[in-house]
Amino acid sequence: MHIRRFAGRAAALLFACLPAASLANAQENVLQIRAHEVVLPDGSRLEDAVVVLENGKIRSVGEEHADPELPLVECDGVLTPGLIACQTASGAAGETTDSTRQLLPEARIVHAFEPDHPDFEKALAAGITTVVLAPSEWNLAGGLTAVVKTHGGEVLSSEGHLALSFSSRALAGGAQAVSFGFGAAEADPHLEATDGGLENTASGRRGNRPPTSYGGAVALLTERLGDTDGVFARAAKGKLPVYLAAWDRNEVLRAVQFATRHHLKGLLRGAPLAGDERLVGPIRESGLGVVLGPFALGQRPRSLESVKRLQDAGVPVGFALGAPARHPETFRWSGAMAVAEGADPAKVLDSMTATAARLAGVDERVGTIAVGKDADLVLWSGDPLDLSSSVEAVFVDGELVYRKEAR
Amino acid sequence: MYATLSPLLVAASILGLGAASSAQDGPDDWVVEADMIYTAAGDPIEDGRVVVSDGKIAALGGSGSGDTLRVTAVTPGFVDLGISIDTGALSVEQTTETAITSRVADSLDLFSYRWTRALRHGVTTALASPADYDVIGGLCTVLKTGGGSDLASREVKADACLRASLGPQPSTGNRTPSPFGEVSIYTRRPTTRMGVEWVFRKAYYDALNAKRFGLEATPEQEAGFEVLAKTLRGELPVIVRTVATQDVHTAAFLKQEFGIPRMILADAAEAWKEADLVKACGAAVLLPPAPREGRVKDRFANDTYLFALDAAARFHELGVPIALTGHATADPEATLARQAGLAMRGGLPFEAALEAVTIAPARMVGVDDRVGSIEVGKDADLVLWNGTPFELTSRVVGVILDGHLVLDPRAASGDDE
Amino acid sequence: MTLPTKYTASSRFSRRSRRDGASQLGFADMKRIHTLFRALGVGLALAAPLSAGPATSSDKLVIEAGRIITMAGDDIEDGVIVIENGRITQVGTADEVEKPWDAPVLGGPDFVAFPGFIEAHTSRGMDRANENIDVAPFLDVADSIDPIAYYFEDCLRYGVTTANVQHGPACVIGAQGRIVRPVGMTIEEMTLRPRFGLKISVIPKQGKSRATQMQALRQTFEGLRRYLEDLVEKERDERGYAEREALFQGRELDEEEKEGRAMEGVAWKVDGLEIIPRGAIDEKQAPLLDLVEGRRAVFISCASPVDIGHALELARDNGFLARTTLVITPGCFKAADEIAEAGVPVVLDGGLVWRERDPRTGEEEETFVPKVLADKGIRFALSSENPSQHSLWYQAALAVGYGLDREEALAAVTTTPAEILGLGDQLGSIEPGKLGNVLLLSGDPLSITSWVERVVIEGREVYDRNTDIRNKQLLDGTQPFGTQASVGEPGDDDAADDGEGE
Repeated sequence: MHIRRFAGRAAALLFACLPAASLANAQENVLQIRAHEVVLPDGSRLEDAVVVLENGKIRSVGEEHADPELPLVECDGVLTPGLIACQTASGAAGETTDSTRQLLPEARIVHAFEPDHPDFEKALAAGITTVVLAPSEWNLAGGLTAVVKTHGGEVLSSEGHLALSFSSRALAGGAQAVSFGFGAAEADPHLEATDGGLENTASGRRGNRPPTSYGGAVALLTERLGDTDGVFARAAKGKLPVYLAAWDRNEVLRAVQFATRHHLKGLLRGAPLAGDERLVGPIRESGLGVVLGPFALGQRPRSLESVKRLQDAGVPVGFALGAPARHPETFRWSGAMAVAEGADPAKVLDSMTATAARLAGVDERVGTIAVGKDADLVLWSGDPLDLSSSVEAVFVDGELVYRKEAR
Repeated sequence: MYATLSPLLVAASILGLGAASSAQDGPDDWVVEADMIYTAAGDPIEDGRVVVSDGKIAALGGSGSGDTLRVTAVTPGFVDLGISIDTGALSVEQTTETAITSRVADSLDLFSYRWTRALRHGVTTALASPADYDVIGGLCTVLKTGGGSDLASREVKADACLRASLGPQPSTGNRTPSPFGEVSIYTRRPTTRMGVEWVFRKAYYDALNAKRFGLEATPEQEAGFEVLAKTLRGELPVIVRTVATQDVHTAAFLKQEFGIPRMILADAAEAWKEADLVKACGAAVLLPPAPREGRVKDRFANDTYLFALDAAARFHELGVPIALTGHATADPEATLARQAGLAMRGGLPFEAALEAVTIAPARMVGVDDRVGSIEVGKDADLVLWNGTPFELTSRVVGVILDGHLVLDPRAASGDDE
Repeated sequence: MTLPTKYTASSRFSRRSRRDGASQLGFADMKRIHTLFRALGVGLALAAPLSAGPATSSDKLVIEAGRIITMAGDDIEDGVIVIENGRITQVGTADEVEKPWDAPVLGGPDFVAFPGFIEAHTSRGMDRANENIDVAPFLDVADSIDPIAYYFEDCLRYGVTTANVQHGPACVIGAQGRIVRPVGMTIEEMTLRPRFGLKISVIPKQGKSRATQMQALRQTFEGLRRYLEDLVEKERDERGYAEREALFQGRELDEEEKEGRAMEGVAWKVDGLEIIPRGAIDEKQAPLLDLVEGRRAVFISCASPVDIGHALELARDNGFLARTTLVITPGCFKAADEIAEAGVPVVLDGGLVWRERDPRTGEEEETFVPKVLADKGIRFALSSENPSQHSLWYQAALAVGYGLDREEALAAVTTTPAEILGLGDQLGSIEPGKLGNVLLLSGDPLSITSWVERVVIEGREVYDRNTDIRNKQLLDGTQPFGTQASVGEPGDDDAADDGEGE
């Protein structure tokens, strides 16, 4: 095997021209990668270090010398863990909202996971190796999120979080769309049958009608947290993290207070102004993480600043992808824009990797370049938050699954 | 090319708002000196002094630590029971027309700029109510218009009263069923004024007779019965929106029928037409902001109602408790202070106008132990003026809320009074 | 011009019944009389604000007041004003003044006397404020003014005794205006100064951009110049041409109009104009020629700081800067330096305060515009054209609340607008020699509890609040048969004021 080094200012990716057979010559499924910089779990960078992958896992990090017997990939750029998006609807467009009922807490979005969908290829090409598929904010209790890899179809978790919505969209949409009494069979035992359309809701019987007000939603969710079994019960006991969608600041505060009151773990999603000085304190005290973005060009500075403010306060931050409505490339744009507005680049990168993995509940498997973790790695031609750099190669479970096409 | 801005920008800088804790930028001790202090608790004090300490009024006269603020006049912070800063349809639970146990406290948006605006115009205490899309919308909350970002730090009295609405608004949006129309939760009664009255009456009727007739009630309904029982015992006032004359009639009759001791007629633009009836039934009246013209079109009905500028004066003469209300918009013509001035224009004496925006509304919802007048021991909520209060030639130049200076009269020191 | 005698309800009725005049009351007649009663009711309502007791036949009037605010020096306690033949002849304390024995007395110690407010510029009171034609200096607002418009009634109610009615801002060059009193049943009776002022707007007319608006304005004056040069040339070629052209267009010239006069323009002139009879100049161009010669006042509407520069440039280029008054909105304060430098007065329309919201912090910033103008030495008049349509007394009081000196605020609604209208020697204060326009108020003019009780215009009482039906209706809600109240919109509000959520 020859190692050819290509000179040039642009980061060059070196590949040994590896016929498949040559792999077999070496130890089983072992690969070495040497990058100019390797991002370590604590955010620091190791220079010219070698990372060794074996059987889809990371075997070692930080060797100085590569084993000449083994295949080696050399790159003048930066090696990071595969990026992790804490929200997306990749391959599941139209599957994230149910318009027949407001509450479908036991529904699992993992059933909408289509591994071969082109959305995942695009995500992969943008360096994203793991995503959280999440129900939308249009249902009050939209169901259970799923954490999946963008290549290979592995489901890391089919019940990641219980998605609840504190957004006004969960109220406005539900009240009108749901009919009652005329055939909408409601299997949920917690909701009473109605006694017909005309009879007035005398003296306050709400029946099985979904709430139309913020207060009504809070009351209903509070009631459900008292369930003796089911996903609400698990969330109430802290065994299942929650995924709270909220947009306006009063919605965010309401969600945070709800979580604090009931000792729920999990994260907030949306919350463009979560960095408001009046919200940072309550969010930190609640222990919730916050998933922000995706940011668009022209995103207001106050919104971009939220990343910095939350991170400075020690609140775990992740980023949303918003595919397929948003192109996966905008994922790291969100991070770059946050950095431009003052966020610490190392923390932002961490928010796309290690912290994101923690928020998704899969940090034992992915999110950092550490021994024993899945070998989900991305080789960048330069710093990942530098928008002029690009993805050179992506590895998932130790396999090279994407390589930037040569011009 | 453009002129540089004069240093007389009236900057809307709010000091001290936003921090959840009480650690503010400025000191909490203040000494306010004024040519006239209108306490709303007796005669005004000439060349007086209010000492503020630890969020309360520590003394009237005497000395105190803290910086001195010198202004022309001081009034108590205003209390507005009809301020309508709510999240609209999202503040009222419309799955039932009688959302008796619904609490508006859970649907508030304290980040709305309108609270800040109200505060800048001198309203320090307000009643948050659900929007009037239900016949009985739920329980209202009295809170300060500024302070921490969570309700707990601002609440003066939780569940202070029950909100109901007569007239056309609650039935707007309801439809009778038709074979072609889509069925939704709004396919229900009431669709007319008489339907609205029926719903109100049924709620009370059920509460009073549930046991007698063996009505099976859910826990939620039971809780509703208990709230209505409280209103009947006089522990909880009922605020009823009654814009037109016929609504005032209806409210008076309902009050008498069920013997509701404390009823407040809200937005009662035409109540002056039935002043004697209002007096006889013992209700209190909240007057809406004065429109520019004599008549105002009702948004929810094909109707106009006739406003009388001297309504406040008339009720005052009759001895009916009144309070004025304003709107929290950018238009200074719609502020509560302006309404007091306009009521005076209609003949209401100054002292009565002052009380109608301070101690009278406080009394109506039972928070007069804390707010509504400048007395030792009460909350330090003060409005500082650069002239005679409520005159057009005066302006609110300073506001102190819970002892914090939220609008600084010294910031506008460029212009003289 | 003498004021009309007041119309009383009875005279109106008898005139009508004489016209309808049936001696036998048949069914049709009953119907007619029924209609009559309704019309009477309307007539009553309309006539009532203008009538106040028996008609005065005397040309003298004595006004007594507990306080007279003269706007020409100190206030006078327990003062007396004597008006004869429409003009103030004496002002002073009871001792100083010699009251004519045959003059009726109005007022008393409970009243405060104040000069009538002056509306420096308004486009209300007409059936429509704007005409479609871009350049229309040949039009006259007199043809549009509606003597019974609600605006004039309101003027009396709130003490405005003189109003300068001008074309609206939706034009390139608008009509000729008129200074009127808010009393009279015909435009002639109302007129104080006919054909006063011209309207120019630099605000882009519907469909135009600023570039095309300015181009249209420049072209108009270019057109004037070319027309005059053309006329002179043709007259030189063929004497009598201009007069014949005028005759051909149907305009007969009287002796006065046959005189020619050299052009007096400050910025540009056309030589030889003295050979053209003045009356022969096209009536579409004549008002513009007056303007360029500095013989006509002009009111230029501006809606943004950019407009100020354009307006002043136009005025300078065509020589009418000295007669220019800018009609500005609050946002124009940003160009205050330019205005100050040009030395032109302004009328402040559209409110007193400019509000801007910082897009980053969401905080509102307010600028009180009259103080900016006062600090820069710009003469300004307030206007009742503002979002809430509050009248001049209200605007002046608000201005004081925002920090303007009381004297400056009062001047902005009396003496300054009088000067702007070129009537500084006739109106704006209570001084001997000026027209007898006096208000009797129940208190200080700027106090919120004060009402205008009586209005005297040129020595005749034209308004008495006791007989003002609409005022009664606002105050105590009475609704007399046959009258119609105007309906306002529920004030504000709710939606769209926050702009906070993302």
